[in-house]
Amino acid sequence: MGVWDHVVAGFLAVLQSDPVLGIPIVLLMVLFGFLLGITVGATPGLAGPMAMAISLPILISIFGYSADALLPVLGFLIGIMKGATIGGAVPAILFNTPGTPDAFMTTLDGYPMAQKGEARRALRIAHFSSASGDTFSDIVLVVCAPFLAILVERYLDLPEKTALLILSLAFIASVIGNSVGKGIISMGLGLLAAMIATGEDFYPRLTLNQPALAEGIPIAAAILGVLILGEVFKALEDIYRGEAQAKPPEQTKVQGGAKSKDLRRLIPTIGRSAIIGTCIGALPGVGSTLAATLGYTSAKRRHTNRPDANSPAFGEGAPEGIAATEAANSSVSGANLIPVLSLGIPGNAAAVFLILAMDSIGGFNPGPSVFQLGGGINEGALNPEMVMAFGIFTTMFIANGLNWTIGGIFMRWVGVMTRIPKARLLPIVLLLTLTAIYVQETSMVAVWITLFFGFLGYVMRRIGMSPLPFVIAFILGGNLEATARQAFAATGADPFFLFNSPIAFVFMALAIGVVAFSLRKPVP
Amino acid sequence: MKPRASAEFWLAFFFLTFAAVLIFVWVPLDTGTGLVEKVRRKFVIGDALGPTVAAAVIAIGAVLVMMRPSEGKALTKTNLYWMLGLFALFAVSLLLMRYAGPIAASFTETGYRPLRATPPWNYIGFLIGGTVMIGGLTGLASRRLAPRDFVIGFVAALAIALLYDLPFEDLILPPNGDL
Amino acid sequence: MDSYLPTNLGGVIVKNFLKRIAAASALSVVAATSTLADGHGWKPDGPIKMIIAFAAGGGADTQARLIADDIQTATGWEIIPEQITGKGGVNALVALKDMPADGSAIALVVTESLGYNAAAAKGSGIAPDGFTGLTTTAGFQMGVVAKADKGWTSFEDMIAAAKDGDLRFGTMSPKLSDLAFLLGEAHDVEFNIVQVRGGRAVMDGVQAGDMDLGFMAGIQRKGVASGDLVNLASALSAPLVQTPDAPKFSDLGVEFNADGYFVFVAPGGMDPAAREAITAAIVEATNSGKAAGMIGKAFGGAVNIQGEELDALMAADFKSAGALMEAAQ
Repeated sequence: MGVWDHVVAGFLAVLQSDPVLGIPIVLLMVLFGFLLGITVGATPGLAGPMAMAISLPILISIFGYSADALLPVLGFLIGIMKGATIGGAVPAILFNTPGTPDAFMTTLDGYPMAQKGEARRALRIAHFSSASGDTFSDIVLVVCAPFLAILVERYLDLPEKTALLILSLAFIASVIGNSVGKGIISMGLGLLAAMIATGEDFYPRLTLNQPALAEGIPIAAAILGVLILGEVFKALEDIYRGEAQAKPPEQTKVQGGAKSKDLRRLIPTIGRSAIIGTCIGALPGVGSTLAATLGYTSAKRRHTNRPDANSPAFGEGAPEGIAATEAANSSVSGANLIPVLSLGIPGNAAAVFLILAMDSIGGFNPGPSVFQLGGGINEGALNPEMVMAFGIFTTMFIANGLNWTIGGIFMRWVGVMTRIPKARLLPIVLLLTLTAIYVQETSMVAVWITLFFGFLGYVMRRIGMSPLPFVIAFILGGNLEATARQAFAATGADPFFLFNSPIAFVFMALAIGVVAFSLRKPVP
Repeated sequence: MKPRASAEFWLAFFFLTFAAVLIFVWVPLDTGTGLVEKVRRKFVIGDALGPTVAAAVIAIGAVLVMMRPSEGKALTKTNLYWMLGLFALFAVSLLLMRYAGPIAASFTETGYRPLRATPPWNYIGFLIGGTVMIGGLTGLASRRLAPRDFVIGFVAALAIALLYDLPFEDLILPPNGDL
Repeated sequence: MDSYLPTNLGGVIVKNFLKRIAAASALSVVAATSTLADGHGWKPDGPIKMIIAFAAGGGADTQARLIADDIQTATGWEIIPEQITGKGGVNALVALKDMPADGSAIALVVTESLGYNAAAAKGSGIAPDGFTGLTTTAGFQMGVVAKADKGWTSFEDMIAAAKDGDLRFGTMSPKLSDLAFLLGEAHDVEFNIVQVRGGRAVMDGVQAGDMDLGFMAGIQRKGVASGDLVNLASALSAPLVQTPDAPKFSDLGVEFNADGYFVFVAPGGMDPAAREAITAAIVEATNSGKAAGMIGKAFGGAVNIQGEELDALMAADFKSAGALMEAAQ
């Protein structure tokens, strides 16, 4: 069975899923997720990952743990992920408040345009750029992920796989945030949390004899605690201190559509930004905010060097500014799944929740084995994991289709979300998160553990330490230790297994190099 | 020392100490096997190695922070009071969540356990605890306790309870899985 | 029926209960439905918590959830599955130990959890006499498996290759690692034993070339059928159903074996009426309905050892663990 059979089977798995009201359930789930994503993205204080985290336990209760559950659940989550990126532009343009952090640059030109009465045109440009960037990135994903996975499986043995995990972690810790040292501490803490009660021996290590910890820290408790509760605690304190009490922006008239000539003129800008965003997205840990910044600054430099008589300067309502930002931040989401699907390494918070979903449902283990032809069963049968991967790709393109067709219209409706005050919304998000944890773990102890990690996440944000290396190291920690154990045993207890093969040696050297190089970053 | 450098120094110092305690006290006392073990006449990696590496990573990070201090954000006293306030609120609301149902049911013949899956008993703790949590948090953040916030809290808690409880038979609201 | 018993005795017991099952399973369906239907038996006074000691999504987990579904449909009892994984089932047993023994909590583990793993996890306070065995659901078709393109057609071919250079032997539990070690020792070779988590990981490792051979407990069926994988030996006291010609461990100079089953247990000192009713419900589920189909496909059919026979099996497994650990020192 060739690759093409898997592509077709994956496509059919989506289209032939059980119909509800005559529509295949996976399609329906992508649609719901997408609409929810736009809504959430348009709500300042909420972000895609929050909605993904809270939906997950509900989705699992609906669909259960069978292999049939994967596509509807992942389709919904992918819908949220994609919807949130375009939703973030709405309040940025209409009210000068970015709905998601990566839409900050959109406010710079979007709001001035809205003030000039061109809000509708700005939204249309944002939508067009976002959808283009996203689609481009997905195409790159579909082309690259399988090849990368096959390369890894063919050339990397256990020691090299261990070294590759170390390199990824070192890279993530170094590039996220402003301080390499703090990134590495964050990563060390994540590794430590992953070690609790997970040893090979029957003694539950590092549990301080607490039976509540004997099963280890529930993954969802640590991740939701650090990522969501930590953010909620911080945002509420900002409100308490009056720092976030921005005046409710005045409503601007939404009018003046974009002409298609307008959009055609922007295509080169969008193209450059999409490439920047895709390259950045493929590297684990770098994230859409940096992509947006780079996309915007590169377009700005170009624009300043070659001013266009028909277009205002950047910062004064230049359509190029919106296009560059939105194309760049949206093109991160597809490319971000390259390391997820081919290596099992999550690159940002959205990817973390996709991996969490795959982990909780089971039957799909992201990593190089996904793209093995024959899939470990035999030559004659389809590899169910590879079919699933192409099913996931299909859902991504369906989400893109929705984005192109109804995304723009829906975007204009959700502006109202901006008016919900954060002080009301965030406490509800918090209770929803804790309830989501409880229904999964059914123990109050898990709720307390989540709160503990919430406080940890809060402190990390206050001392300028990014929580993302913690989360990624927590997810990969078990995998890293297991691979290292296996590599050590497989090489007949060779203490230098990480340095004995040329590929592993290069990975290790790069890991040290990336930390050393990042140290030279100027202190802000 | 400039304030920024000083904050960074103490941060790094804290994590260095933490890493040292891990490597020399916690990990040796609280793991079943050593760094490496001889099993079936071969060496294998023991359970202490992973945590020791994690601690070493923390220590390396701390040393790098000392060498290259950055923006120097630090926890302030206000941050600590804020955390204390949050903690107190969570303690109160989670205790209410846990015990309100059983206390209410102690006036019945059977007690809470047989009633833990029966409305309205199974909602009592969640609704009271959830209302206090949401209303209290909103009040804390906006610096005034308004009855309206508790009404919103109650409505939200009820909506969440119904969201999980009505469609899904196998989902259990807090605290009913502990009872 | 485990390791320390002379293997022929083990074989006799196996045959005995196989016969018993053949007779009983036909009966049990009728018996179970009738006792449950007329309701003179036991009924739970609330939801039953079903602890699953296996990772979500795998074969064992699917089996447990299907059984829960089937029981729910057949009896109307509410069953709430819950994952408690890790430490080869010991975590699940620790959690189950202190739950009420009134039939409101049961767990699906493997016999190895209460045998070798309980014996190895000394600090956990787990032993078979602290639990009530309900019934096994299926056995393992545990083979020593390699990829066909290694070119080995028999066990001897593999040993010859192992003499030329250390081979990597994938296992998924300490007990199996001990067995792999003893297998090597009996043939004067040393394997590099790579212990991973779960049978699927051994399968992936062998397929990807990270391991040369490994233990597989039934997952190899399709691959062997298509000629992609080879069963080099049976790690059981009996021949493998699919490859009856492959030598057994007893033929290969290893006096221990990997006989094992999925088993449902409850906390110790359970009310006999509850034990009987839940056992009957599980047996029915494993022999009819969705669960039966899945068990047939994935594990080669239901095996229901219950009552005293199961008690004896679990006690023997636990006792024999020490001997195996000592032999593999």
